[in-house]
Amino acid sequence: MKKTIIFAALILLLLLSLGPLAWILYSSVTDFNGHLTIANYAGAWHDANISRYMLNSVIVTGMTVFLSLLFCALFAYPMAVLEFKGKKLLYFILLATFFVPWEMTFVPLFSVCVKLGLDNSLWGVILPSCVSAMGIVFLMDAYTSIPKSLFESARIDGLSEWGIWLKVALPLIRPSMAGLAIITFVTSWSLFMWPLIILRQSDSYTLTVGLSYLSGLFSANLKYLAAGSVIACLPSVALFLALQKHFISGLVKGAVKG
Amino acid sequence: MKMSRKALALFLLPGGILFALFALYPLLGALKLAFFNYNVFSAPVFCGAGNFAEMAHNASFWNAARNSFIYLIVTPLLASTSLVVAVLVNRKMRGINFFRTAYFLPVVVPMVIAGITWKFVLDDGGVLNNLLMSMHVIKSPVFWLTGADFAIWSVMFVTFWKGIGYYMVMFLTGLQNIPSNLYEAAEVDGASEFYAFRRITLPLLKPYLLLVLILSSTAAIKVFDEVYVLTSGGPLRRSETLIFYMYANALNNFPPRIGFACAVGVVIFFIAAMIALLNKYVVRAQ
Repeated sequence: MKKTIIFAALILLLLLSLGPLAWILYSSVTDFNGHLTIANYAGAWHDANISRYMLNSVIVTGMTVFLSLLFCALFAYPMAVLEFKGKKLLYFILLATFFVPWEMTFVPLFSVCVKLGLDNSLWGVILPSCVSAMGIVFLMDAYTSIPKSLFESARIDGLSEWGIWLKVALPLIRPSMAGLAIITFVTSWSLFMWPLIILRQSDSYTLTVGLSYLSGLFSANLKYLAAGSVIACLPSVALFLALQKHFISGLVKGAVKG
Repeated sequence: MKMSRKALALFLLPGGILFALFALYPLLGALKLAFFNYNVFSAPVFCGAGNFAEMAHNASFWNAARNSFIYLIVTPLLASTSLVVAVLVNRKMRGINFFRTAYFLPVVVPMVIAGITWKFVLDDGGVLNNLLMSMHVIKSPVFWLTGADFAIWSVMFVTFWKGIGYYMVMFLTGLQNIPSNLYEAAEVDGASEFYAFRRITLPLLKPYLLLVLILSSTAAIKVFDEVYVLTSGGPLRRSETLIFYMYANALNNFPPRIGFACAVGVVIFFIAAMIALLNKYVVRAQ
């Protein structure tokens, strides 16, 4: 009896979580008569500009993941393992900005980007997403867990500070870097409000902005929209299915830090 | 350990400059502009607390505040449902990993796509209405997204749908950190499963509950993507939340009301901070 109830609940939740996704997948691979077709994908890709949005999204997400990992790993290193003047103040500023809803800064941020000529450019999306207090604190934790003796012996071996960072510290925080990469990937791939504000021309739209634009058109081709939505889900879904364990532990750790 | 000044600067500068330019400077700018009248076309004019005073008398601000407040209902719904789901999937059973994976899947779908997907389902002529009509549950379509009384609840449902898996994973982490011998001891003592849940599971999950409450309520106060895609705040501003109201004042208004929008942003910041403190207080007091 109890087993049956549990099983029924599991199936019900399954329908709820996958049902709408299954429906949009079904819409995307059938024509209006219900026959299987890939025409919607071809149409979305070529006629609805999805190929361009995809390229933009790949560039934005790729650059954001790479640069934010690099900059956070650099910044967090002296913050975690070195002593220097002003470190406490920097740490305080980082923590103080933790609970800021960044959406409230979007209006002045827009003027900064306009002044720097970044409006309508993918860099206007990439650069502001490159450094986060969360990412820095996340990696500081990882550096702190490295035994100090490792740094000492590396110094005795005659490695420079850069050498120690590159050859000793970085390899040891690889799991945390992977976690941060996953969090940054998902965040950047789904980013919407800021790209919507800064990207004003259709050719620079990312997938989220482009698809919301398509869905708002009165004459929207719903089949293309469905195909485009499936395309937009694929990268993050594929990454999740491939790296489930890392994926979930990365997100949980990130949430705890954030 | 020490490091040369030059090396230190090379470590700190790239991230530091970006953080100052794209985070700190705009943040201070928003705090400043909240006290100015500014429409982009002419220089900002100091107006003291004028923007805040205007909010107090502005019916559409109170409408947005009310909607954001209503939206917070999603927090207890999410916390309780995802806790139940976590308990449900925290068992040794063949195929349980499949269910965990499936329940988590909506989390990795970008919110905009989740919105578009649910729009297919909830539209006036969408799947849900067709299904309910063919089953003779309803005679005419329910206006899930375009009806004044339904819109905000439909948008909230999408937030709920996409959040369950995320918070389930948080609770699951907590559940798996509880030593199983506690339950064995309870069983030996003849305690019922529900009693064990109340006396062992819940108290030990408290830090995770706090985390889930803070994360989901700050997310609820900042909700934007699903509102934009599903209803654009309509009909008749009935699903317009505070963030959307801020966005609309800065970008959909002509001339743009930059200072006023920044003031709304400051209010959102205080609400978010208060919610975080309140959550902490409530969970401590329990």
